[in-house]
Amino acid sequence: MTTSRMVGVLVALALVGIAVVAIRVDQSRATQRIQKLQFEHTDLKREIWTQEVEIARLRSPQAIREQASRLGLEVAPKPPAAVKPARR
Amino acid sequence: MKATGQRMWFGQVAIGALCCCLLALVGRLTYIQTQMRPELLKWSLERQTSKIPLPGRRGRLLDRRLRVLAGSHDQSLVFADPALIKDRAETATQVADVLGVPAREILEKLEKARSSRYVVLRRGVDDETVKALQKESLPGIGVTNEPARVYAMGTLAAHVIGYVGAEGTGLEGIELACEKFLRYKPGQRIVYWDSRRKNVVSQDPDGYVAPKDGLDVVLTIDAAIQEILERELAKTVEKFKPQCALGIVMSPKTGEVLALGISPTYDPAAPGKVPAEVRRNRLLTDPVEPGSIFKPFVLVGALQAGLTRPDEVLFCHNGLYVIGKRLLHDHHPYGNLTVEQVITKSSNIGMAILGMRMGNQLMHDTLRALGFGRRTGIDLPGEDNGLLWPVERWQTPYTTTSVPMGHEMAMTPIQLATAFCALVNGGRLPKPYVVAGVVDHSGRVVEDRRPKDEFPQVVDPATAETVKQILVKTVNEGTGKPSALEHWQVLGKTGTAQMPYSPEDRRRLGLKKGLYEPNAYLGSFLAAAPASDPEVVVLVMVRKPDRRIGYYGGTVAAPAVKAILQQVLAYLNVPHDRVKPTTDSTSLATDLRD
Repeated sequence: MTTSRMVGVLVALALVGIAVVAIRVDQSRATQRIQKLQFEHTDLKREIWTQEVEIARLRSPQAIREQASRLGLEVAPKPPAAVKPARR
Repeated sequence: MKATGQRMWFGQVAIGALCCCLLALVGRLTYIQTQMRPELLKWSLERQTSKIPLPGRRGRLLDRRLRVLAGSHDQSLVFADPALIKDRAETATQVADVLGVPAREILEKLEKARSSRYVVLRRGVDDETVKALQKESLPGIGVTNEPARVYAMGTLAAHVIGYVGAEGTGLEGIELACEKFLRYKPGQRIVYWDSRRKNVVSQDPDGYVAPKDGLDVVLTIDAAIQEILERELAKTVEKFKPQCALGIVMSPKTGEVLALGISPTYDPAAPGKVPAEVRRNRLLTDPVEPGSIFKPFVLVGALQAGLTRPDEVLFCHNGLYVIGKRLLHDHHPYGNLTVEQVITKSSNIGMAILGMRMGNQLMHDTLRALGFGRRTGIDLPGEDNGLLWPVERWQTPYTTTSVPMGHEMAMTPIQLATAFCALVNGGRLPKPYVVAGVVDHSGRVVEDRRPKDEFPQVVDPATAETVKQILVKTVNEGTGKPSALEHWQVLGKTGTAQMPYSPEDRRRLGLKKGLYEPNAYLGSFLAAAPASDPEVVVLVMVRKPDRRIGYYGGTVAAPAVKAILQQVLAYLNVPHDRVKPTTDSTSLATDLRD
């Protein structure tokens, strides 16, 4: 093997080595990013659950009734126009 | 020469010994690398990694309009890694001080789980305690969040929803019945630690397994109707001071249970704060002698078999009827009553006469066909069969005359409401249900529980219509007057029954079976509306009201039914079938025709 070939092989090996390291670094970064996203996803999911429950609490008939009474509103009877003929 | 020879010999021995040592070392290394490898790898992984469980979310319970009745929220959890704790007793004392629990309790948990890396010390810790604990920064003690069950509407529908245990598994109600759908599959995260126990990025693609959340269960319950029912039951309890008041609102066309409640109720988030009997769903578990609300069910058999007509006149013995050694009484001394009036005025003697005319077998067959004596099949746990003796055990004439009045047998409230649905929907017996379906998080239906087949025809439509008209008169002219509504025609039947001693009281007082408790009554009202095309069936039962305030079904239960129907029909936007109030049967018939 000539010296120039040997140098070529060594350079190629060095490049492969650098490429492997670069790929590993990227992989590490990607893994880290995925983990971060997984954490964020979990946190957001939990936040949604909490908000869902809060919405349900506000939408509950009891809460609406209390709010209506605080605002001085009353359940009004239906107007006569709402009286429809019975279904057969 | 001799010295050189000796040196060579020593050199050879040394080289030989060195070779032996090397061979032994290679052998040992080979043994370690091959035989001990799995064990060492396991040990190494245990030292370097931790498996952190990732809890998912338990499925939600939604009402029929998809309002969340039960969901999940985050709660703080204090855990320990016993491997990182040097002085367990000292740590236990410090943690106990912050958490406000006995140190012994914490120490026991730490000692019990020596080999584990994750021990739960306390769930549901408040924010202040968490801050205090973090301030202490105790080695091996950590705080994490986990989803916990939360009941968004408080005590609403507690007897339907049920509750979960400390570990989050269903123990009662729908939480128990639908456990297999609601349960989540936990995930896990594998965390790698460096020598200083710092978390390092994992290169393991399988290091994260996402938890699989539970499925959502959609109920037939309507939170608004449930709230109306519970509010009216609570008012009844406040006014008549009973042991409890029970109520059901059902759709007679589909068998859907729109609301089901008991007052007093309990908080499903803290079920342990009330005795077990408050948590019990008496609507399913406690059969009762129904009393007069049972009369229409017997009448169905007599009309269907052609043994009587609504206009047939029966002599009711002026309020006192002697059958063998037995004396039967009416509340008023009625002479001649039509069969229709026997129901509207709730004459026991008139019903006893009809019962004797029917005979045991026909009566028994009619009641079995209406579903009495067996479970309705409602999808809630703990349903009782009720008590309808086999016909061979019926005594003539005693049982024959008792059953038409709603005695000598016991029915659960759900059985009564279901059978009443058959009377008002044209004679088809529905199967009551509270779970409409199961959906996943994208809203895809995983299981549809709505009935696919037609309900069995247990009463012929003409007879059902006749009984319905008689029950309309019961409300307009008879005992059900307090339930009459202005815009909708109500039909129904009142009932007042004496209550026997409970098994516990009987044991406590050393009494015989079958004795009635003095001044203990069950006041009931079973109704449907609008009469032209019933949309809802409502049953209210008031157990052991204060006799001095009132105990008749028409007094204690009918007003609650009226209030419930008034609000529920308006909420459901049910068209009016009555323009003005009337007590005249002719004008009522005209209204219904309209």
